[in-house]
Amino acid sequence: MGDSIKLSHTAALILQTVDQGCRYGFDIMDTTGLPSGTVYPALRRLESEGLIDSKWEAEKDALAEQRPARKYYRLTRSGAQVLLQSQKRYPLLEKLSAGRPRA
Amino acid sequence: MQPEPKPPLSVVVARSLVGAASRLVPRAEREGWQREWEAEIWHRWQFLEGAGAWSVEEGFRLLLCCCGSFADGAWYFARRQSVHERIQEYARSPWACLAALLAPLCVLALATGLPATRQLLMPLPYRDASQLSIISLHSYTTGKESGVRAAMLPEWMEKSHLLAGGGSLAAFNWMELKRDFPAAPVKPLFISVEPAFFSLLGVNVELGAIPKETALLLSHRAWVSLFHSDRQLVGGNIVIQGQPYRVAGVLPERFWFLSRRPAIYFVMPHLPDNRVMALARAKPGVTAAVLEKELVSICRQDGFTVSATQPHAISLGDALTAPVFSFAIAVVGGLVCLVRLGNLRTALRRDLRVAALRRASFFAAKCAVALSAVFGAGLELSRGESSILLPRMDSASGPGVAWLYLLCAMGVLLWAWADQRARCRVCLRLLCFPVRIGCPGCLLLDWAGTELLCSEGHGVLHVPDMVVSWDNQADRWIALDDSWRDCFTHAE
Repeated sequence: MGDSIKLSHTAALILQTVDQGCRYGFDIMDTTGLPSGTVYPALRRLESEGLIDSKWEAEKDALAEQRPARKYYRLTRSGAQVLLQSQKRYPLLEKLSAGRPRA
Repeated sequence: MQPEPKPPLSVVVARSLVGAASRLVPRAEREGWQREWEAEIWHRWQFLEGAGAWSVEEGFRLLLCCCGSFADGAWYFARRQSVHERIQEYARSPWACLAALLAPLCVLALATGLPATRQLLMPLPYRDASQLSIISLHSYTTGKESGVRAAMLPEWMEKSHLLAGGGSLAAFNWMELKRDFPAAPVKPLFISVEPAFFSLLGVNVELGAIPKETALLLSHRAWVSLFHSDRQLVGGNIVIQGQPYRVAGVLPERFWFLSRRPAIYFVMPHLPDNRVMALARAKPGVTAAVLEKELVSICRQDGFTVSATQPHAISLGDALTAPVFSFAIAVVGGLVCLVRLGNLRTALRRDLRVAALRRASFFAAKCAVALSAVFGAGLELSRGESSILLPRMDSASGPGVAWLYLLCAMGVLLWAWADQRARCRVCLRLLCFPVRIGCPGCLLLDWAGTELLCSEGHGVLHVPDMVVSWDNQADRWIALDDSWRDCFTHAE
């Protein structure tokens, strides 16, 4: 599946940001500087293509910290493959967020 | 979780934006989608609040971020159905029906500016217009209006108790001048009037003065279209029918009298015609019918009346609004037709039980828009620029248009009712997926007809091929309960 997918630069950047530990939409926006109207639809599309998956955090953990539960995104195996391809395709991509450690 | 502290205005607005954008997301996914956005808003606000960095600028940034929820919702919306399905779905909705009815009305308004309708809705540009009437001679044999004898006017002035005192009657007449202004875009109207005519209407001039001797007054439109708004013209002469006439003034832009055409008024101390129309101002509260009665009796006393003709008074307001009454009668005729042909009584009894306020509002809105379009189109077509708004001369209040209104009103109301029957009783979408059921030859204790389904799964409409004696209901609505909901999840 992952072999046939070619991502746009923006989608690849978002995928890399998720890979580097930004796990929710606003965090990705802050890191990439992309607007929410770009980040969220891209996340939906990446999820529908199986490159990332999402998971609600446990309700009891959120309640314990007296805050609403949050939805987290993470890279799937095929997402990691596509990211590698994208980094070859867009060599500057890795440099853009080189300072940030991987999750 | 402890109670949330009072959120600042920007957070409240951000949540409202997300709530509005959530309408784009299919119902099945909406709750999770909204929860995700609201959690992000909460975390951003609380994080900055906790760090002491919450400010108006941050609130504004949060609002900008939440504007993206519309793009996010639109992604779900675009993914939900194919474009073709979405167009079909929209075409079935009640809003599409109303939009389709409003569209021709808007096109008509944009194309023509609806001058006749505006004329009808605007107040008449005269002082105390309700007291003004036109007196003419009505022929009972030909149905035509003509001028009354000029000699009658002094008699009426002297003997009438219902006219509003001195100067409350002024003669005027149409003049047929065919050779002048052949290049004018709209043929001007030539009207001869007595000097008291304008004071009777309560109109003053925009330029110049109302003359006492023979001179011309131009309507504003005639001044603009025939003389290119030439201010030097006032006080100068123009030649009409080979005769020079002094232009004494220009009337206000809002002023018109019985026609929208550009008009040239020949103000004369005494009209040369034997027969003239008369403009009368009655005392307050005196109707045109009462005034007419008095004027007829004065004529009889003086031996002026011929059996087949009689003075006829019509108020200026009535002359203008005559088509409204024709149309109202046509709508009543259409409703009677609907009650007779549409089996409305039994249907309404059944319908009212099914919580019909929304349905009734939709039916009323549909009829109102369609009837307005019919009336507007009829009025604009029949009351063209050249028409003169006197009942016998105005085609908008003639029998041809009245019959057309009646047929159109019947058509509109019957269509509206048929359309109403073909819609879901809950969401008012047009029913779809027609399925033929049964055998038309096997009606003994059996049923044959068509079933139509609401695409949202609210119910099924059974429409029998023929109404059988053991079941005299024309069509039957069967509501589907929530157990059917899973079959229609595609619609959400």
